[in-house]
Amino acid sequence: MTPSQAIALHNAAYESRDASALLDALAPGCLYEMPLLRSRMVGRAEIAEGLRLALAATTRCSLEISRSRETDSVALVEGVMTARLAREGTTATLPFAMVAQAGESGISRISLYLDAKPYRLWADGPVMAMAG
Amino acid sequence: MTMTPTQALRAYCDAFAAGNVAAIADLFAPDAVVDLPLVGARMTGHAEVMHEVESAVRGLKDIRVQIGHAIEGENDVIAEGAFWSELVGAGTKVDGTPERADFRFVVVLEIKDGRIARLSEYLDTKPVKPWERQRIIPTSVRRSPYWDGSIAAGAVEFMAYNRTTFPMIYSRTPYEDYVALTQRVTMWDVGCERQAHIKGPDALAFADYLVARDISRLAVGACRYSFVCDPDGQILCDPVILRPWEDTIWLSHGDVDLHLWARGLAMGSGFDVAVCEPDVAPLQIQGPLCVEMLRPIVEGPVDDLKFYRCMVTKVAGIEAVVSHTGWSGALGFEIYPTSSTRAMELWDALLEAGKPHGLVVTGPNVHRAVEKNVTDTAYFTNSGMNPFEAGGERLVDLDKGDFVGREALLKIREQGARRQTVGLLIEGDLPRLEWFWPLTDAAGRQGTVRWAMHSFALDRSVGIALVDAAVKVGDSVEVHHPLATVKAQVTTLPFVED
Repeated sequence: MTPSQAIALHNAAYESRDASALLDALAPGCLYEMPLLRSRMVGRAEIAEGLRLALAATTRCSLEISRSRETDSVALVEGVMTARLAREGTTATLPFAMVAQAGESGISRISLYLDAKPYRLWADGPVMAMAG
Repeated sequence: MTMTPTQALRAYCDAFAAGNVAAIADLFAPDAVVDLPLVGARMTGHAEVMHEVESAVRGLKDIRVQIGHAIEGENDVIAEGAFWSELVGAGTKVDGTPERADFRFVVVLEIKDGRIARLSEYLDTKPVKPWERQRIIPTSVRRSPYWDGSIAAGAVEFMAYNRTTFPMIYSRTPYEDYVALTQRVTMWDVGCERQAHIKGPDALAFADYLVARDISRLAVGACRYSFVCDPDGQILCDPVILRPWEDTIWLSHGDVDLHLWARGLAMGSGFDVAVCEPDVAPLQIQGPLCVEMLRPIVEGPVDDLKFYRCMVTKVAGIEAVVSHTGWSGALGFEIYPTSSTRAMELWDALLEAGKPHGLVVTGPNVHRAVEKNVTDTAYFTNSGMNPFEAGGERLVDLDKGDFVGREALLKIREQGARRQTVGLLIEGDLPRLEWFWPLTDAAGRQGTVRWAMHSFALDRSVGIALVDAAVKVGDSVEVHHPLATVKAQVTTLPFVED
C-alpha cells in the first residue's frame, strides 16, 4: 500500500459512499483525523463509525486533488472537498490538505486539515444550520 | 539570496516565532498570495499580507513552530507541522487557564524568483479562536459573594440576574447535574436572588399591598409564593415571601429591581416601613439528601421545618435564615446568611457537609424545573403576561382589599384572559433556547415558546408556551425553532408530578 493509494481509497470512500475498501486497507491502530468529526479515531471500529456519521451527514461528496507530493511512506496533498449536506440541502465547499502514511501493514494514518468551524456534523447544530 | 522552498518555509517559521516582521517582509514577493484560515480571507499583495502577518505576530507570544513531514517539489513544498502560542491581551480564562492558540497544520508554499509567491495554511480554526478575553468589566453586574467557589467548582457560563453574577453551567453533562439533583443533593450559588427587605410596624400590611396574594395573616416563620404586578396587571416578578422576624418581610425575588419599586411605592404612602436591599446572598441546597446533609450543620431543627416555613438559625455557626423552599420543585432548602461577610466560609462548610452525600455544585437545573413547571418570570421578558395567563389564578386574591394591579386584574378576570400557559410535547431534539421561539396553531394563532428543554424523565423534548386562550389540550401546533419547524402537542402542566 502506498500513501497515494491510501488517499485514493479514502476519497473513493466518500465519493462512492462505501467505506468498506478503505476499512479493509487500514493497519491495526490506524489513526484517522477529520475535523468535521471533531475527535481523533483510532482503529478500524472507531474509523468505521466516524465514516458512517460523515457519510450520513452528506448526500454527495467529492474530493478533488490539485497538488500532491509523496515519498515512500507519506503523501501530502491539497485540494477541495465539495459536499452536499443532508440536513440543510446546501453545498459546502471546503479547501483541504491531507496527510497519509502507509506501508506494508496498510494505512497507518490519514489526517485531514480543513476549517470545519461552520460545518460540524454534530454537537453544533445551530452553527451548521446557519451555514450556507 | 536564492532559497529553496523548504528553506523559505523554515525561514518564515523562524521569523514568525521570533516576531521578526521585517524578516518576514523580506521573504514575500510583491504579488504574493496568502491563505490563513485564522484571518478568514485570501490576502493578495505584499502590503495586505504584511498587514495581517504583523497583526498575527503582535497578537501572539511565546510562539513555537515545528515542521514535521515536508516534501519538496521544484518550486513548492507541502509540509505538516504544529504551532504553539499564547494570546497577548486576552488575559486568562476565569479559572486562570491561559488563552492559547495551539494547532496542527499543513502548509503549501510556492517560490517564485527566490521569494514566497504563495503560502496557504490548512487548519481547523474552531479550537483555536479564543472564547474568553479581557474586556470592560461588567460594572453593572456584581459578583456573587460565592464567585470564587463557583469558579473552583467549574462554572463556565454565567448570566446576569438582579445585576449579580449567576453561574448557570458547570463543565459536566446535563444528565450528571440532573441525577445529582434528583438522586443526591446539589448546591446552587443564587447570590443573585435578592431580598426586597421591608421592615417596620407596617411591614406585613405594605407587603400585602405589593403582592396579589392575601398575605395579611402571614405568620412569623411562614413563607408564601406570590406575584408582584404593576398597575396594568403585568407580572413584575414572582417572589417567595418570607416573614423571618415579626417586623420584617423579605420578598425573595426574580430579575427585577423590586426593592426600588417597593421603596418608591413606600415613599409618602403612609405605611410606616423602611425598604432596602440587604447584603443577603442565598444558597440553595436541593435534592433528596438535603436534610441528611444539613442536619449536622444547621443549629435549628431542619427535620421539622415544614414546606414553605422558615427559621432564623445558624448554619456552620453563621447567622442565617433557612427556608424549606427552592426552585427544584422537590425537597430543598434555601440558606440566607444575614451578611455576606463570611460567605465563602459558609460555602466551604456546606461543601464539606455535602461530601458524604455526594454533593455537586450546579446551576439551577432547567431540565427538572421545566418538568415540574417551576419557572420564573421577569418583567422585561414576560411578554406582558399577567397572573391569569401564567396559570396563577389561585394566587390572585382580588377580594383581599386594595393592592397594586388589582383594578387591572379585576378587568382581566371579567373579560377573560386572552392567553394561557400550556405544556408542549415537542417533536425531535431541540437546540438551545436563546430567545423565545414563535409558535402557530392550525388556525394561524400566534404563541410563544418560553421554555424548551429535553426532559430526562420523559426522554423527549418538552416546552412551556404562552398561547391563545382558545388553544386546547391535545391540539397540534408548530414550533419554529432556529433549526426547523417542528410539530408539538399541547398538554397540561406539570409534565412530572413526583
